[in-house]
Amino acid sequence: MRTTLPQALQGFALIDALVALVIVGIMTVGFSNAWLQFQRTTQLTQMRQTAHALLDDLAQNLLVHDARFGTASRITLTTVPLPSGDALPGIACRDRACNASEFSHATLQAWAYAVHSALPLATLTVTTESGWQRWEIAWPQNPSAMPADGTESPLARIFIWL
Amino acid sequence: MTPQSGSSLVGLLVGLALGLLVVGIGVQSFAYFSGETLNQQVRLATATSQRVTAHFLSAQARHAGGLMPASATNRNLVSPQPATLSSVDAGANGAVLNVAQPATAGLDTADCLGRRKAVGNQIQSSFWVSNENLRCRPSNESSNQPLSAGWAQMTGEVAIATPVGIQWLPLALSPPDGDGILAYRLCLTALDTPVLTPPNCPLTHRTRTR
Repeated sequence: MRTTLPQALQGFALIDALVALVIVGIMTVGFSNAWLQFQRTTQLTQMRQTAHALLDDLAQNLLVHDARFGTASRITLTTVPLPSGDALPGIACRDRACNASEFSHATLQAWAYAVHSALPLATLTVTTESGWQRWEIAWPQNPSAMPADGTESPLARIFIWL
Repeated sequence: MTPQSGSSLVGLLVGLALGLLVVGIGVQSFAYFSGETLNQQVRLATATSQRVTAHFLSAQARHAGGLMPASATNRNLVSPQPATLSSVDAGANGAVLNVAQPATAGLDTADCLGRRKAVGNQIQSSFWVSNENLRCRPSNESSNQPLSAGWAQMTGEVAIATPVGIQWLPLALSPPDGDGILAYRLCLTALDTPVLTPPNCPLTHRTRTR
């Protein structure tokens, strides 16, 4: 003979379980999005730090050029087109002294390779204005996500005047 | 009599086992995250120390001769005197960096201990890595002292101004009189990281300002 339990002692209904499942699902999606955003922000910060360090490294090398050959020589020799950075730089200016052209070429080639290794999607530009050079590293902020309107991902830019 | 349903012995045991399992996982997780937090704090403290040290070292290298009057013909910086610097500093893992600043350069001039004691109108310091420490010694001291821990090696190059251009030489081959030194490129390698040497050591280029 079956015994009917009072209402208070009965278990969960199917609808209760479904509602709980939906709530847990919404929370999981929310946490996932927050975590993803945190990861992206952290990655972007790290890339900015890397770009700053790369520009500082370039500046230090170009100041060596200035100290020996002068600023005008550097501005003349370090203009577009910049190396692509996909070729391994050679060992330059070690077994013998380099002249201004060789030194600037070796400097830019080594720097472009370092940028390409650290930030593969980055593009390098240099512009000259009133005796100053503006060196810029730009890369897609979020290369994996295409904006809804089909445009390219916004660029993160780090630059230095020298 | 109202029918009631309680827990059976098996139910209690299963519940107890599940509870212990959850508690065990919680304790394990807590221990893991505590350990990781401690490791992270140690790594952070080490990284901060190393960053400060690298900044200090680069400042010393930049200031070496940096306050001397510069002209188109005066490319001679203040001369380090290796004979007074390196005699007791054997055992360096890698290169020894000797820097000298003119004693008349002003209040910014100081040796690696922060003092302004000049020897021969120069304030000199030596830096090297030994026994996992970056050590320094002013030239007028007979003993050295560690600046920071956690280093495996220091290597470096020096850019020399020659009549035909610029040449990078190993730090050990830098001119003893400091003639024509344009810049240092230093590579400080922290412990537990791959040992790199210039030019493969990135982001350690420190220009010696003039």
